[in-house]
Amino acid sequence: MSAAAEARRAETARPASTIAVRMAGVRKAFGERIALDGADLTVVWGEVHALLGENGAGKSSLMNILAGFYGADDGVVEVAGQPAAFAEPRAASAAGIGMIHQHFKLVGPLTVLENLRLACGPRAGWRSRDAALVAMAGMAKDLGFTIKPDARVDQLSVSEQQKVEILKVLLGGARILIMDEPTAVLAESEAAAMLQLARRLADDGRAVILITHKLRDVSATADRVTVMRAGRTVIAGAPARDVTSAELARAMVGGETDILRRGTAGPGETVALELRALSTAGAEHDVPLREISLTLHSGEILGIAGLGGNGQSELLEAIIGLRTPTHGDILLHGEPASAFPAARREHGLRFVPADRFRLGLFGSLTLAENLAVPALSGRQPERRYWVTRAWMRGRARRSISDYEIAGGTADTQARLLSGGNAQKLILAREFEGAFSVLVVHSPARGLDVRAAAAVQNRLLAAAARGVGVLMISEDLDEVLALSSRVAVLSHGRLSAAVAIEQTDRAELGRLILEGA
Amino acid sequence: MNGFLADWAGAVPVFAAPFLLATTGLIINERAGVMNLGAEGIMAMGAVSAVIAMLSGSGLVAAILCACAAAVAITLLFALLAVVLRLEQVLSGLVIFAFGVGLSGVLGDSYANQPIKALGPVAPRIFAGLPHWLGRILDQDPLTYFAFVLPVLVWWVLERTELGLRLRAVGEDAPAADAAGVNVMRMRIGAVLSGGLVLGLAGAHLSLVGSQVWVNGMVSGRGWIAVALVTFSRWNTLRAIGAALLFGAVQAVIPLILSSGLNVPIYLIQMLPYVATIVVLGASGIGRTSLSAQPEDLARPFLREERR
Repeated sequence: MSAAAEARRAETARPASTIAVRMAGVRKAFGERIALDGADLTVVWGEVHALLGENGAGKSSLMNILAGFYGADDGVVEVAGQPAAFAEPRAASAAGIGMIHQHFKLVGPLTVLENLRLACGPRAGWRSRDAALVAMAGMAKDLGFTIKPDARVDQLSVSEQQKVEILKVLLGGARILIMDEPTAVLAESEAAAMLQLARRLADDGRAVILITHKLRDVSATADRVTVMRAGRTVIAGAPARDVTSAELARAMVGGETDILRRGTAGPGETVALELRALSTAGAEHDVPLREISLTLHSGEILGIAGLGGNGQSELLEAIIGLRTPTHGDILLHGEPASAFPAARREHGLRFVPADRFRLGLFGSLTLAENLAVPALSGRQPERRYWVTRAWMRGRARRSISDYEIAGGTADTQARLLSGGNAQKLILAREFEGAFSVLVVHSPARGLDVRAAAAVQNRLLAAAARGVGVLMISEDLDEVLALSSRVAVLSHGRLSAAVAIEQTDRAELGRLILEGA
Repeated sequence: MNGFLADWAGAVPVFAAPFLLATTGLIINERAGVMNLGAEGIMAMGAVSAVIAMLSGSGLVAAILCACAAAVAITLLFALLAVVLRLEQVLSGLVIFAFGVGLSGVLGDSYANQPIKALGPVAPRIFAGLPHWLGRILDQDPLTYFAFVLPVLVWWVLERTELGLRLRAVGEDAPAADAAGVNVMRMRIGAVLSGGLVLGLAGAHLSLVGSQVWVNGMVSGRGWIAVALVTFSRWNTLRAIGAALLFGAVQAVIPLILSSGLNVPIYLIQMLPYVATIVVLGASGIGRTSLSAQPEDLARPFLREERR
């Protein structure tokens, strides 16, 4: 037997004892929407296994089945060689499966220690608060985390909350770790540390499944990679070093991607939006804005870079009128902006928030209804008092095809959409009719390559039409790729905007970290 | 006037106890994320069952147990609607309110207006040496004593035990609690039934200690006031003691004013508790701090595969 054949045999017929998870032919439908259509996945102990796919490819659904959150409609699920159809998350936890969700499953009003006791107390056999405290301190020290046990979870930063999730899963005795896009919410340096941690946990003999749509994460960390597309597995457990990024990208997307990048649309002369020494009050969880001044011209993209939690949401909310400034003025086309968000909207202001379901969409309304809402509230573009379903559906069908919204029809509830499609839905709605100022916050966050490109192209096209685009983004690459001018938001203060040609990554990085 | 004040002070605990029991029961429900607006109906069932048991020749203990059993039975229906079938909790609560009040009227029809032997003070002699007014306050029946002990017990369980931690987690964020391995449905059913049992005690207190007779509609809005008191006490059973005492004081003053011969319209006086409710709710709205104590997942049914 040749060495190559030997290797192939070893690959196809692994000893059963090394297989941590085997899923085969898994199917799952939510109502009429098919999330999984025969997905396969095999993970062995001691590896970091990347699970790659576009938004809505079914990665999270497959993992939610493994972790007992959803029941599979059909298919085989085995954990450590044993058939495992977990009816409930606690059954999966007891079998050593721990999932770190993209949207953390922590009880916000409780403290860190209370969350850990809640999840692991009975299983870890902690008799008292002190026992839990000792266990937490030991594990935190081992992983190099510093987290106050008595802090309320909803007052921690996103990366700290993620660490609490990891502590929770590991203290609960998980041997199979599922990390759902752990780097999506993190800054660059934190993301690298998180990937190193995943590597280390696998080297300790655990199986780590890394859900991601960043090709970079795969090449940096994973041993093997499985790629999903439209609910099916298209690459099953290929060694990560043997596949190129281009191959992975093609497998993921299934076609060619056009990524149009920065147009050189120079700023027009007219000022679309101006902020003069704008300040807001700092409530409990908020970062107060401090004397923010900026000028946004028609036809330019002004990028606002900075790490999350430095006043980004507050800035967006102040501009659209959800937050009353304590000082300073907001001028829309040279006139003081009305206090009412609806009036600002009528005056040509549109926005795309970072949290798509809090300020963006009505999750329990259908796509057609979501698209109709602003058309009803404004006098433009259509003055209507009677709303018929046919009218709403007709408009929705147009938007769905124009904006390539997948995973739903006009009558699907918006919350069933994946992140990328939800974002397209918001754009479809906001871009309707005439507008002159667009404020976006992290427009491509959590989107796969193709959806991100689609969204970014829309922003460039809007600027080319003469719209002033204020792009608040926590992704420096995005800012550098799209903006014609850039400013940095740090601790609620904004640096002076400079033309993109007159700065570079190093300079912006310094501003982001140290402030202006 | 000393006599008036002593009478008043002595009556306050008895008037406060049903409020306190009901509020405590509702706090157990709401901390687990279930809003039970059926309190009024459940209390009515407790009150009538206790009287029926007494008039049928059972002892006081049996009467109290009957009240609890009846309350738990009707609460079971609420748990089925609101927790198991995940119907709208407000609607389920209103259904139970109407059903409970109606059923208590039907069951109690042939037992109405017949005085019963009341649950009396435990040991009047112990307090003989104390000042008159203090003796009047401290000398109470067992159910009233229990009403003032229970909130402390419940507080301890909620804030200091593993069970309480799980219950609070379910009320604050059911999906996260589910992910942490808590059986959300079992926890909510347990909380609803325990709360219902305590509401039954509140009803039993009304008929056995308070009125000592069954009159149709005698709960007369106390269940609704208790719903408001939950908000006023900010979901904390220790604060509920103060809130209940306040309302007990308002209610205790009514018979005294009526019997003092002051020339005030009777309906105006009887309106006092409801006016106090409005004032208190308004006050708790004004004094609101930035962090609300309301459980985040209150009145939100939990379904695992739901995306939100």
